[in-house]
Amino acid sequence: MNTIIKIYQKITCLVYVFFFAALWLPWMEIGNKSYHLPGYLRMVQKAGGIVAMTDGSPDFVASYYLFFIPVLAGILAVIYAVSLLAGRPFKVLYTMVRWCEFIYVAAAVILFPMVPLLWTYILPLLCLAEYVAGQYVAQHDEIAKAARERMERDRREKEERKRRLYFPGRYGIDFFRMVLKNAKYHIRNYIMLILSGTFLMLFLYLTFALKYAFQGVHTEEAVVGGRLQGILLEAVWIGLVLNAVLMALSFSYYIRNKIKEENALVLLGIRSRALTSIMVMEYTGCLACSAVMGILMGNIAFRILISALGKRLPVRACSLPVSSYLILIGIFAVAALIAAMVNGHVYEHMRWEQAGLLVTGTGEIPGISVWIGLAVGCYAIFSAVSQFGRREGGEGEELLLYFLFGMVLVIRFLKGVQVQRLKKTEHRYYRELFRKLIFIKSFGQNMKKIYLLTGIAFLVMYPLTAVYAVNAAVTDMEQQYPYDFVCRVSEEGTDAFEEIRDRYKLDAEEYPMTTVYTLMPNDISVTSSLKSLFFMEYASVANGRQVLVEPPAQAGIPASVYLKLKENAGKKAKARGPEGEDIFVVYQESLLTRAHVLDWSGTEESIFLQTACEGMDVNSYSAYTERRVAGQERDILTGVCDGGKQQNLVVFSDEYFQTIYQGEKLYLFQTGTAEKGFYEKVRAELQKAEEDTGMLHFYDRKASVQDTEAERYLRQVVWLFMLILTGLSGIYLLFIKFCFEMDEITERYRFLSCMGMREREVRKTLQREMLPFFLLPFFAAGASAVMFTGLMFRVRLYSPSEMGQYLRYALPVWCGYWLIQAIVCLIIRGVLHSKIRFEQGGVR
Amino acid sequence: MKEIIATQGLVKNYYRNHNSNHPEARIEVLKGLDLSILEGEYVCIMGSSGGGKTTLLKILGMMESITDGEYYFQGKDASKLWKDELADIRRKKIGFVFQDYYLMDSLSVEENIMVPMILDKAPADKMREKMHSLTERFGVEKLIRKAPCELSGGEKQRVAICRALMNDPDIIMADEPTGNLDAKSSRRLMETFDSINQEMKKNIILVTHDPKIARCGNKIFFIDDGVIVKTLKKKEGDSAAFYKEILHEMEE
Repeated sequence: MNTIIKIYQKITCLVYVFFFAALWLPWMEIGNKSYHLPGYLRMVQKAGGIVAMTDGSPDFVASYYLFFIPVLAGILAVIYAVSLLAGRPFKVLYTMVRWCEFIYVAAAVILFPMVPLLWTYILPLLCLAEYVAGQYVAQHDEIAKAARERMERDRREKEERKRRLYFPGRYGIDFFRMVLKNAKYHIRNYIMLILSGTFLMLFLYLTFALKYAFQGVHTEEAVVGGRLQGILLEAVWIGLVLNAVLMALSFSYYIRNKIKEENALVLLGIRSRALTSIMVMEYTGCLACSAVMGILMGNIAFRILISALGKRLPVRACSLPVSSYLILIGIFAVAALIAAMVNGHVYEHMRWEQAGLLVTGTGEIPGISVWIGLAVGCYAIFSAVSQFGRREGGEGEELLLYFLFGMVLVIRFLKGVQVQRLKKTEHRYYRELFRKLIFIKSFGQNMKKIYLLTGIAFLVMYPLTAVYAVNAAVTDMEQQYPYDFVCRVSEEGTDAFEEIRDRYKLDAEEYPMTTVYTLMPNDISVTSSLKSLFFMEYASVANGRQVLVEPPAQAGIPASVYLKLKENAGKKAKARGPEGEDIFVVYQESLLTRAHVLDWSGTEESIFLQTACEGMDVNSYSAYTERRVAGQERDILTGVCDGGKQQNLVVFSDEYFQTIYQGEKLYLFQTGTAEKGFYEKVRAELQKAEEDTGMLHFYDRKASVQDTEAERYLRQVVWLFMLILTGLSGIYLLFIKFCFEMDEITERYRFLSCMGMREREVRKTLQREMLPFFLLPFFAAGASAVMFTGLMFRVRLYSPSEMGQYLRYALPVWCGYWLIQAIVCLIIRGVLHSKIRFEQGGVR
Repeated sequence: MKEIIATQGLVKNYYRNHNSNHPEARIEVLKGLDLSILEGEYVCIMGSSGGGKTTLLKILGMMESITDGEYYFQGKDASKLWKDELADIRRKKIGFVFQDYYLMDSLSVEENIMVPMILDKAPADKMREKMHSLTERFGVEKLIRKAPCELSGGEKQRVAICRALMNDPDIIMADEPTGNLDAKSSRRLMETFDSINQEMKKNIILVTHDPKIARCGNKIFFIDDGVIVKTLKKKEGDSAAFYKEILHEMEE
């Protein structure tokens, strides 16, 4: 043992010496020079401090101060190492080093992409390793002793179990017949399990098959750029989460039903191993059936989808390669395992309960926590809605999740307070007891289903309907590009463009313009940051900001050009143009995206921008000046902009424009009905000129239309599919709840009928019991969806006709969803009622 | 004494797979059964398994319909009563005690006891008062806050009796109430039934296999294969002879 401790002490010293030495390595590159940490700190001091050096960028300032922590930790570590070698270790230093590590790691995770000292992550990792080793060395004897004792105890228990559970021979054929007969009797449970698994597999298959079929449709950049993959990935995540939840729910119900017959078998003396084997076989058997059925149904659905897509896109049905099958079976197996693991505790809990070791709680109505929940929920809803409604903010998924979280808390409050109030007045309590029994007695369990149903309804009514309806309602793509080519040419590039124009006799409209730079898009999106982190795109998640090499550039035009473009498009100008240094913004966004404020760190009324001046520094915060936005509109005058980078128009007053104009020009032209291949020739020439001179930038209708239309159509089809699947999930959830609980509900109401509850009362009570599962999601999700749709109209600057167009697609989805839900509820109620009704008195 | 229950030619058939047309699908349970129960009587129904005892009790308790014959409850023809009227009778005039107790796990003991009055929409204070008086009488007053799953079999059955008496019914119908109880609990339960019959002047109709239980009654119907084969009546102060008669009848 002494030898181990000595070796360990030496290793510790080496580790800390390495830490300190490593700080002197040239790890950071600024410009063409490399700096080690102290050198970097000195350089910053020479530059007048980090604030002056980085123009006050908060990310750099924060990360700069962060560097002092490992320096401090290194120094402390070396002192500690020396004291350790001297045989009198200062333990307090060791603790301080740990704290430094903790603060450093926590802060570095927050500012991760802004920390150039990436390798210093080795520091906490080594510390962790050293800590584990230290703990092991210190507790080696105890651990070894405990392990020996545990092994001995296990061995004895195993032998005892073997002795007590000795079973002479195997179960005979009759046993298996009995198991089979039992399985036939409980076929409903298996069907539910198989159905939920089939849903999952069908969805997975379709995702893979669509991905495979669409690989050849897009341009190489689009595929690599991942827009198509992104559409499919979003669908995968929603589908996977939803189906895993449903599967877990089915499995938990399956276990609850299974445990009842298990008790009977246990009483008859069946071995627990046999029981486990039966359950495992049933579960895997159901999953295998689901996998096969899912693949078969997925194949059929895929072919139907492809035949629908094939009308507009060059896609054709193809069979999946073996590797894809393996991957999707792997994902399916993982989801099944997760569902099994999640429900493992349900099984254990039930067994404990059955064994009498656990008393089922009778009153689980939340108390004061509902009020705290209300405060938190209202705050979450308010902040999510206010952020969502700002055009500077975002329509991010995290805001929707945040809102849903708040909504869940508010629903919990409403129902919780209702039940609490019920309990306060005895008379009301007994009057409502049977109607609200399930909420009075198992509040949490039933509320979980309401939350899920509300979440699913909201998903269907807002995010999924929004994607589907907007894609379906969006104006014809051709109309969104009024010109074949839109070229932005600087003064130096004018000759190159004119040469092309003369050569091809292009009838180009020529307008003066100036490039307008706005601040970097402040994409404060936790989910996109996490996604970027996952794909190791460190540069794009700096402090939640999307750091672009080149900041977004818009086309600045004088008011007269704006009026001319309006006239060309045959539209009436909304305003005559701004005055003085004010601006007017024309958002050339498609309906698919929000008409986002150009400067995302600014507000709707005032933004920071800079025009293309010589010697400007696009990364310098101070180079951007604040401008008042006198007016704004969403319209398409030169061509639609989907990414918010280039094509929005910033309109200046004519007088002010003259002061900033630097000879840049905007050329807009059609290629007309020239000979075949003319369009491509012009495009190739412009592309060449763009690459050669760098003074000419353009985008063309065909490439944009091809890519965006393919994406739009894919999005429409895939999300319609998601919409249907999610809607079905909601119905399925209702179905599994009442289907699995059918026996318990029937028994309860039959008993109450025996005790003298009138039939009308039975029907009414059953209805009142079921109603919250329809009405709460209906009102909560409905109101939220309507509110979010309104906010979406606002942030995307939709015109009344566009709103009407959107609602033309959205309303049938909403009505259809609730109509089907209502029909399913009525059917379930009818089935339950017919089961409850029994032949009372009289002559039959 | 007034006749409270009377049947004439009571027939009850069940049908396999709900197929009432096919004669082979028919299972005849009661085959023309006549009986009469007078006010204040303590009646036991005995007989072999599958003889139709429980079916008869369910019919008498208005939980099953009859196929043919006549059934009069307190002079009213049950076949002419509406479903709601039947429910009202079950709630107000009859108290049920089942072999498996049928206590709702989701309710506490006190709520279980109060079920009939809750269904009757009685005022809360009245319910509580009645519940307390019954629980004290049957020695379960300390259990009222508990959940049914925390009680023993005997305790559960006493709770079920409290429930049966909640609405002050005219008749208590019990189906094998001692079926799940040990000898001591059974004896205690029978004393309870005795006191209900003697002190509270309630009719008791009890289905049992056990002659020791049956001897507590003052009238016994022996049912076999859907008909009453014998009716025994207890004479005043002749308990031992009555028991012998029961045993003799059972052997036969």
